Parts: sequence; C-alpha cells; structure tokens
Amino acid sequence: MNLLNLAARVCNEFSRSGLNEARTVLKIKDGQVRDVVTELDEKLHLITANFIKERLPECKLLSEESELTSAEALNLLAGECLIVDPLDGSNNYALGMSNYGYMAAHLRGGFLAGAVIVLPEDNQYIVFESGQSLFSQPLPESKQLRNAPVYYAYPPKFNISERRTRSALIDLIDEKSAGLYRYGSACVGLYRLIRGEHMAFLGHSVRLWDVIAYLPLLVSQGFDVLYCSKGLSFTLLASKRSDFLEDAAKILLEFQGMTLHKYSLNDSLRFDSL
Amino acid sequence: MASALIVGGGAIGRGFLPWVLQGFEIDIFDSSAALADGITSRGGFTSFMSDGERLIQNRIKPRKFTSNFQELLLSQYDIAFISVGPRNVVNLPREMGKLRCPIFSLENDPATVDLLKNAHGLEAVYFGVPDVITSSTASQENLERDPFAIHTENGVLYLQQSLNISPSVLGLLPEIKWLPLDRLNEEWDAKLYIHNTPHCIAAYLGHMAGCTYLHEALSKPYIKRVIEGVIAELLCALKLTTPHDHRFLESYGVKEVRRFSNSLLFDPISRVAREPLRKLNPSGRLMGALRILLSCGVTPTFLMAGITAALRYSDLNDKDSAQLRELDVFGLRSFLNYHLGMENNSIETQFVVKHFDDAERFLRRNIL
Repeated sequence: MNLLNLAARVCNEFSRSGLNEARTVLKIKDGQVRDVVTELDEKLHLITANFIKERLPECKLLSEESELTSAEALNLLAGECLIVDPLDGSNNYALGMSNYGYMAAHLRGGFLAGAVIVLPEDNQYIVFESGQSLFSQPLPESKQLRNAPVYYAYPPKFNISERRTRSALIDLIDEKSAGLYRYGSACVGLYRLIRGEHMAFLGHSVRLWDVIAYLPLLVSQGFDVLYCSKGLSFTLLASKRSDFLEDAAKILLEFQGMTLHKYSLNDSLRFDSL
Repeated sequence: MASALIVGGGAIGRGFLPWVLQGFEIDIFDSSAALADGITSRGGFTSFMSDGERLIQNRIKPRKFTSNFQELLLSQYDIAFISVGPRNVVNLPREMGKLRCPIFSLENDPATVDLLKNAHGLEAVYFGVPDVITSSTASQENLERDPFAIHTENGVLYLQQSLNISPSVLGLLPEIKWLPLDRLNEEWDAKLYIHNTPHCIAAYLGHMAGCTYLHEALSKPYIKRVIEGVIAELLCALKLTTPHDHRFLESYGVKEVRRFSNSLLFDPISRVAREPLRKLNPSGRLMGALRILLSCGVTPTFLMAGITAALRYSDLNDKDSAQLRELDVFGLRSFLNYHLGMENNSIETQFVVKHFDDAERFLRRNIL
C-alpha cells in the first residue's frame, strides 16, 4: 500500500506536533476569522508535497494551501492529482479544541483510486487503496440510530438562493432527525457518521478537499452517496436513510437547481465547471 | 453417539481437539473451502502426536468437514469448540446463535467469551485453555503421505466448569481438566505469560535468524538464552504480582524451553509469529507482560529484546506486514499510539521508546 506511507508520515507529524504544539496561526484566509492556517497546516502540506515527489512523481498536488484558481484546479482534476486538506478543523486546533484531521484523495482521470484519512484524537488512520480499506483501529460496532443528529456543513458566504436552500435543509433536519450538529470539521463529522453517531452528513457547497477523501469509504461501508461538483465547490449527501437523502436532494434541486449524481466505487467523478 | 462441533479447522481445531474428542462424532467447520473439500475428498486426515522421541499416528475421520455452515444441524450437538483465531471471532456465521449446546472459546483471550455471547445472543459460552503446542503443518515426509497431515504435542485441555455439561458428556471427556474460573485464570496467566510470551518471542527471533521451524530457532544458543531470560523475568514478576502457587509457576516455566525445542512438532515460525500487532496489544502477551514487569520493578531486558523483534517482524505474507514495514516512517511513539492505542506518556511507551535502539543493536549483534 503506497498510501500507507503517506498515512505514516502524517501520523508521525501529528504525534510530534502534539508534543511541540504547532497551533500558531500564520494567516487568516479571505478575511474569514474561522478560516485560519496554522503552523501544522503548513507542515502537513509540506509532508504531502514531499511524499508526492518521492512516491507519486507524476501526480500533482491540489491542496487547500495551494492557492489555485478554479480553472487551474479543474485542469488538475482531469489528470492525476492528490486532493488534500492538510488540517481540516484548523480553527479548532488553533483554539486548543478537539475535532480536527487530515484528508487526502488520490484521483486518476476522475477516478478515486485511493484515500488517506488521519484522525489523531481517535488514534485512527484509514487508508483506502486498490479497493481495500485499512483501519489502524477497528471501527466500533455501528449504532446507526435512525433518528441520530445530522452533521450539516456549509461555507461562511452564501448568496440568496443558497441561504434559502440552507434554511430549508435546516427545517428538514429539525423535522426528520435529532437535530443539527456542526463542530468545525467535516473530517470528524464524516467519521462519526460511519461510526453511526450521525444519521446523515450534508456537505452543502463545501470545498472539494473537505469531503472527497471519504467517498470510497462511505460507499464501502454501505452508505448512499449523492454529490455535485462545480469548480472547487462540492456538495455531498450521505446516509443509510434513502428517504432523508431524497428529501434533501429535492430541496437542492428546487432552490438551487442542483442535480446530484449517485457515487459508486467504479464510477469516475463528474466535475462540472462553474 | 454424542456429537461435537469444532468451528475452525486450524492447528488446535484439527490437530489437537480430535484427540480429546475420541468418544464423539465430530463435525468440523472451516471457512476455507479448499481445506474442507480436500479433506472430505480424502475421507479424513492424519494427526500425529509426539510422545517422547516418537510420533503416534491417528487417522481422523470427521463425520463432516465443511465450509458451509448451513449444512450443519446446529441443534444436535452436545458440545462445541471455537478455535478460529481471536481476530476472526467477530466474523463467525450468524447461525452460530442457533447452537443449543455449551460452547467453549479456545481463543487465547477470555474477552472472546462475552464477544460470542453478545454477537450471537448465546448464554452457555465458556472459556478454555488448550495448553498444547500444535503445528499447522507436518514434516515433509508426512505431508507427502497426506497433504493435510498435522503434528501436535500431547497437551492438556483446561475447560471452565459448568453445570450445563451433562454427566454423559463429562464421561466421554476423561482427559479434560475441568476447573473453576479462578483456577482457570491461574492456568491462563501461566499460559499467557510463561508460555505464549516466550513462544512468540522465540518465533520473532527465529525469523530474524532465518529459521523456518521453531525447534530450529531454539537450537541456536543466543535465542535459547534470550528465551530463558524472558521466562526468568516473567516468573519473577508473576511471583511478585499474583497469588499463584510459586511451585506451580516454577514447574510451568521449567517445561517451556523443552516444549519449544520439540523437533517432532515442525511448528512453523510463520504460525507462531503471525499477527504481531495482536500479540503486541497492551493487555496481551508482550506489552501486557511489559506492564507487569515494570509495575513490580523487574527490569525487562530480555522481554524488551522480544518486543523489539516483534516490531521488526517482516514476513511479507503476514496480515500486519504492511504496517510494520512503515515502522520507521510512523516513528515508534506514533506507531504504538495509532496501532496499539498506547498513550504517548504511558510508562510502557516511554520504556519502549527509550530502549528500542539498544535492544535492536543487541539483536543484530547476537541473532543476525
């Protein structure tokens, strides 16, 4: 497993940074105080870049820290690239709070060939490669509560139609589940979905690197996965309750005209331009 | 005639249990269709038991040897044994819940009893300790006569006493030592630490030395010295930390090196060493032993050499080899944390991190 080597490098850095503290905020992006870059973000970005250089020399890096335009990014997605969120939940990490993790998705011609997820607070890494999943810790027996809360992730800036969609989605969550959860890390939210602590995950126009690494894992764990990708914006709905996903998909279609695709392991992803 | 079900046709299930169950009709389930079909087509297999300097031969003819659990009439059995390997207990067929007889888990882990109860809604599940070394294969000569042949030593099966065993079944099992739970735990401590710990360490050292079978490893003076050292450290710690009879512990320790050296067993190092991450589990035979030694002030010099050899085990066919190959990339502290759940500041982590390099140099100097 080539990607296990990447997971090992990242785990090592999380262990070191746990000792040395790398919480210093180096910059704030787009004037959004919740969108910070810490010293650890940059270290993990660099580790990933070095891994690519040594182990996947033909592969390009598309990282949250890459600062590419949508057009440049779409160009990368057509070839072989590693889509990386070095530290999902940077703000939590900077504030000394829980809930953060690392994600990388290996894309080859639109096909998700592999993924690495590291969740240091759970001593967990997950490597998906060649159709096989490797977990450092066994997953706890899934509770899969039918009415467990829903993790809803959305970005800070929305236009009017997106805000209406968000409002309708929140109404749906309040009506059909135990409530809305949002704790600043899609990476942790998706992991808790897999562990059965959430009934569904709605990633509404989040960024590509916030969720894409989880797609093969979700499907291999029996979740229905619907998605829509426009530029670097990515919408992901995942649940084992198809009725809930259908209702959420109807809202996205009605308010935003968004058509979702069903993801399965053998499919290439469809990336639409803006 | 009474009937018994053996779930798992590996070393213990196929090689040892049929000797104990000679008064029973036996059905064996194993998930390997190749094994089940092969043995069925030959009408059985041959098990060899070492007795001093010679092997006694027993042709085992199970009533059924199958890879299809649904072929079995689960309500008919008088007793059942689980010997599939601790990691596989969670993957047993759902139909297990239909068993109505007492079930004994021989999985080297008492936690598997509750695991089986909870997963299958069973009540009559008990723990057992097979104090025996059984190979998963046989000598080349015996394999040529029967490719499914297997070698075992003449061991003892300790089972937890239960009122659920009928007197007629008890009468058919004269060789079994039935023990109350507290006495069984004493046997378990002795087996886990004085047997399993040096046994797997001998395999890891043997692998480093390029041996194929365990008795080859024990023929090397340095390996024998490390194993005797491990046993001495463990005996000292168990005497200090358990209420177990010291003569019982001493007698258990004395026989171990002799058992491991048995040249009739042809016990493959790959079998004894398999799944090192499971064996390194914090409550298990390596890290669990380390905790006991450190807690009572016994310096784990030889045990640390064994733990180091386990972390350096490099059999490419082993399930854990991919992770172990990346040990240096993970870094030791991170590796222990992610794979074994060992906290960075625990006394065991700190000890292993501090002494790993020295132990590795010792191994390279003496074993390689």
